[in-house]
Amino acid sequence: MVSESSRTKYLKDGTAVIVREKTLDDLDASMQFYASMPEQERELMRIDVTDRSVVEGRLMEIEKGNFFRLVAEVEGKFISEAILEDLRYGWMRRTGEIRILILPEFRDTDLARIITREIFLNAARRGLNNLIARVLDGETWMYDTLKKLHFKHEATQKRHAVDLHDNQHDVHLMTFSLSGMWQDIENAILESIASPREY
Amino acid sequence: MSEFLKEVSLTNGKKIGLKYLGREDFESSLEFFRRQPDSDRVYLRRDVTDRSVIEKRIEEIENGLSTVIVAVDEGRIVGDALLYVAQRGWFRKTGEIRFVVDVDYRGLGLGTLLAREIFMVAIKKGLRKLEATCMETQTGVVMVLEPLGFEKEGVLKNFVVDLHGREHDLILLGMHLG
Repeated sequence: MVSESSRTKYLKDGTAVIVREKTLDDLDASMQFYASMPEQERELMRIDVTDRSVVEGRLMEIEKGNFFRLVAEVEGKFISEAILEDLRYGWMRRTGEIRILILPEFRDTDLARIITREIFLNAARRGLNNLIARVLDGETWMYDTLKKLHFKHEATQKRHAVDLHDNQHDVHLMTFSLSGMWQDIENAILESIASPREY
Repeated sequence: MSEFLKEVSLTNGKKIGLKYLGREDFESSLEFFRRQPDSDRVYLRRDVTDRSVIEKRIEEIENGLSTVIVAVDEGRIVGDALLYVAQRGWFRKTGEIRFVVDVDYRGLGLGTLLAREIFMVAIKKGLRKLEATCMETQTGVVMVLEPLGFEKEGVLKNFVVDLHGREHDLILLGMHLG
């Protein structure tokens, strides 16, 4: 398992946010967090997050090691959660799937960027080349946020998923190339070495 | 091997049996995948020549996550079709199918027969959609599935890696069942 230590990050307005890995002791805080999410969004989540036993079951998956779960907290209250699932074996062994949740009052901040950067770093440590995100047609905020974070909309799978009430939804597949990102950084460094600016 | 589910005829007139794969077929299943040419196996989702992968497949069947129908000729498995359905979450009504046909039995309609049989299982399970994914090199998969009603839903460029670590495009196919 790739371990991450707790660290303090600052939003642009100066708010201190503690970003750390989720642990098995975070069940109560997780339940509070999910309860604070808009009901309409909760209903589109993959599992019933109002069911404590279901949330506990997901939390136990931390021990499997192929999940990296990150939380951001302000004054002890979760304001965001992100998951990276390392798909691990077979032809997807260099791909990870990500999912980000942020409380509405923190969506207009740079929190999504901070959280995603942590996910990218963890994905790099795991040797992943690609990230994939699957977004339901009703998850407008998630779609827009991933677009801003340079995820590419690859395909829409029509009526591919069902929500908690068995209503069918289209699934947008969005990807991000980590190997492409590292290549861009390397190119930028090489370019700056080749043509140094004068100060 | 246990009783056949049914007997079907290939386009050359040869009759073969179809049956559900179970634990008793472990060695036959492993032998089937190991018999396939490396040039084909390299594009499969998992390294099915590995005993632990076959064990995981059998466990998924026993846990109700997947159903596998195999084609058997003279005691040997010559085709394998799998239906995987998540037990909870968004994709509990969407089944994923995968199939492999023995190199010596291709072009005889076996892929279509296996796919049809898996469709029937999917319908009985009350699924609303089927999906299949393959690398761009696996043209046979698309050739079998498109005439059956599957449509291409997208292509993820350089998204998956074969057993040798080479990158390939991933083709997404889908078909609504109702």
